[in-house]
Amino acid sequence: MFFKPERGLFPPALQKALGILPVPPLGFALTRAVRRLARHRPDLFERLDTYKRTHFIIDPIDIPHVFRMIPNGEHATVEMFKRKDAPEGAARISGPLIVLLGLVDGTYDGDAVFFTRDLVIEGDTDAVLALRNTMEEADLSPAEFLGFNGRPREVVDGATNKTLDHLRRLLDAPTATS
Amino acid sequence: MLGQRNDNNPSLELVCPAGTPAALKAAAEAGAHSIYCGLRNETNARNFPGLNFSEKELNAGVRLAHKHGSHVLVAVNTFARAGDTHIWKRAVDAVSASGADAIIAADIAVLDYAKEKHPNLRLHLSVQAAAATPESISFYQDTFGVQRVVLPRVMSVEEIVKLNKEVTVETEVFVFGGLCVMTEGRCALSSYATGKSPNLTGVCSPPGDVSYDEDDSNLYARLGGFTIDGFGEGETAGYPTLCKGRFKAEGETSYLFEDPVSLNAASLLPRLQKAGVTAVKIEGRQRGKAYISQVVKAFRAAVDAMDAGGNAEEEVSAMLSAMTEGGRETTGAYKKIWR
Repeated sequence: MFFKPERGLFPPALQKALGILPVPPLGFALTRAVRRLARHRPDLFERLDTYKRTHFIIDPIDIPHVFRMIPNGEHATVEMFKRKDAPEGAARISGPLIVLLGLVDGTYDGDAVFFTRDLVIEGDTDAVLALRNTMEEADLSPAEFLGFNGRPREVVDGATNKTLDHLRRLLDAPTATS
Repeated sequence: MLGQRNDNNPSLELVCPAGTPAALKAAAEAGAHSIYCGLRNETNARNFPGLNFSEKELNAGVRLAHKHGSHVLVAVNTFARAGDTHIWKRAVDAVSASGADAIIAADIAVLDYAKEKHPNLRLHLSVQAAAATPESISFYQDTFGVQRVVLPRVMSVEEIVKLNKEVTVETEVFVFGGLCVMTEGRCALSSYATGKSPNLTGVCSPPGDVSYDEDDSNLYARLGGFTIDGFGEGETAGYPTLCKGRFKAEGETSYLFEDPVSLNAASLLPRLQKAGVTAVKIEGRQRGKAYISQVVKAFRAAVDAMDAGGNAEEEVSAMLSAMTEGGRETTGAYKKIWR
């Protein structure tokens, strides 16, 4: 092993390398994905209630970028910033990228990774809880979130789950809850 | 059929939480005998943002659970406000219309309304009623026809054995999850700090009054501006509740009431069964699907192993270790001899 894995964090060399690269246009793709979800599952955004206008800062601590998400239904936006340009938000959710992804697909229980300090929340706790509970209800698979259907969805989910599972072991991430 | 436990059928009924329709599905698929949930308003004691069921979701949830052979118990277990009882009445009507198998209530006004308007609806007395004596339980049984009582988490196994000999209603006890160490329904700790009563609005330590702040590598949990605890680097965190806070008293810093630990009474299941308990309950409507699925599977394995004359204690412990508050477990009051 050329690095000592620690609680799911990307190795420092990779973190540095990612910092040199330009900001990828991920925000655009994620905005489209959230808006598509709002069209297909409006019930989810009702569950968010007034918190759909909250500015959430999603901070994967082991990459040099942060995301600002405003999950306002079909007007939702997701933007990606270099960490040094990160805006202030009403609520911040921080943790290794692999842990944050695991919260989206239900691999991890939010409370369990909070107890172990793998996840840190700051700011408007009401809003964070509303988002967490909405994500729970969404029960999204990676391919579903990206808009795949039918056979392609199965293929993408199978490959993604296998890759993430392998990464969790490689990075010594917290044990999956599910 | 609920409550069919008898000498020929000694199996414990496993009652599992669901905060969202997705969690209800997870609980049903994991083998829950019964699933409890609440409506998305202040009529239930887990009134957190983004949690709970709309009336439409409850109807669909009941259908889905029944398809899996699970019962649905709906908590309408906060105390109705004088002069503003409309939402509690509407909640009881909605539970009845949904085809749910029972309602879990604590307030005598809610119980009375349910009994009068929906006489066929099974009534369970919520832990929020804090009924722990034969006299109080008999009152609820005689007055409202309550068929089951959820016992407070402050009783020892010996006390449960004694109580079960003196009452004729079914009893249900908590065996896993967050641990209220105060007499539920009467605790005012959170109210002192936030001005909001968990017993009336359904939220202990309202998240809007909670803040977590990191200072270097320390994490500080605060409620209503009061610092409840500080966690050093590598130290596991807990819920921001005052009863699990770490305070300085008489020159010493310690957890004055209870450590940030979770209840795990899996090892006591045979004793609880012998004590005449009908149902065992898992706490955690605020927890996610991953938790629900794992905990329900573990306890279902334990109950099935007991039914087969065996014991699955070790396997269950391994399955549950990652789920607990503070990463630690306790058997709570069940084995305690102090008060």
